[in-house]
Amino acid sequence: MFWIFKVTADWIWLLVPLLGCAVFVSSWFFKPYAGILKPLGTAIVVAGFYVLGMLYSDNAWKQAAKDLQAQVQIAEAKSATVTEVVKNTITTKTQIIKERGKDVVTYVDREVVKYDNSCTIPKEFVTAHNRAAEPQK
Amino acid sequence: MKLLLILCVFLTGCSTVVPVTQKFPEAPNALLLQCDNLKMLPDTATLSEVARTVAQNYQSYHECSLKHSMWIEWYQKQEIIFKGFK
Repeated sequence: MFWIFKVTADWIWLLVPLLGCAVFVSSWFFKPYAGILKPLGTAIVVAGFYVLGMLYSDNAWKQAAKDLQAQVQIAEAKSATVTEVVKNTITTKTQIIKERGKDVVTYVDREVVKYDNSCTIPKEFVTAHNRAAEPQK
Repeated sequence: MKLLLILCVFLTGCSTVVPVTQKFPEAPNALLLQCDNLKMLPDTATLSEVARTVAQNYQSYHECSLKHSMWIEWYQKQEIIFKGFK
């Protein structure tokens, strides 16, 4: 029902109650038709005010929608900022973790490897480690 | 009946829906990746292989723990923004 407000200018609907008043007043000058003009004029005035009420309501809802849309845009921008910060933090910290891991492996390859021949790892040690490291099913 | 019809026509002017919704944002891809499985030792592992595997497994743990913490932080902050809008 509100589609009509999209295709017409708002000021046109102000003329409807005025038209109703004009029809009502004309009943004073065209007395033979007073029986038709008075109720017709009254009906047009009532309908005109009702349509103006609809127009006011439509405009109020449009404004509310506009305000909400603005709030949504602000919230979406904040959301995007949070996501960007988290992405950057993950990238930076993952890089640090990987570098530390490489440093440890370099140290192992340099220092621990000297004891490979003098230290035998029992099979039971390997089994215990692998059982703990196995993915849970 | 006519009065009812007229009333129904009048009442159609009262209903409207404000077509504005906010969607909960999508999580970053980095947070949606599964954590790596831990590495296993070969049967004839040497001392350096053990040390290397343990270090790599600790690295996997730290990466997984970071993802988990970041996921919690991301979700909590988005929830505050989302609830704040409503």
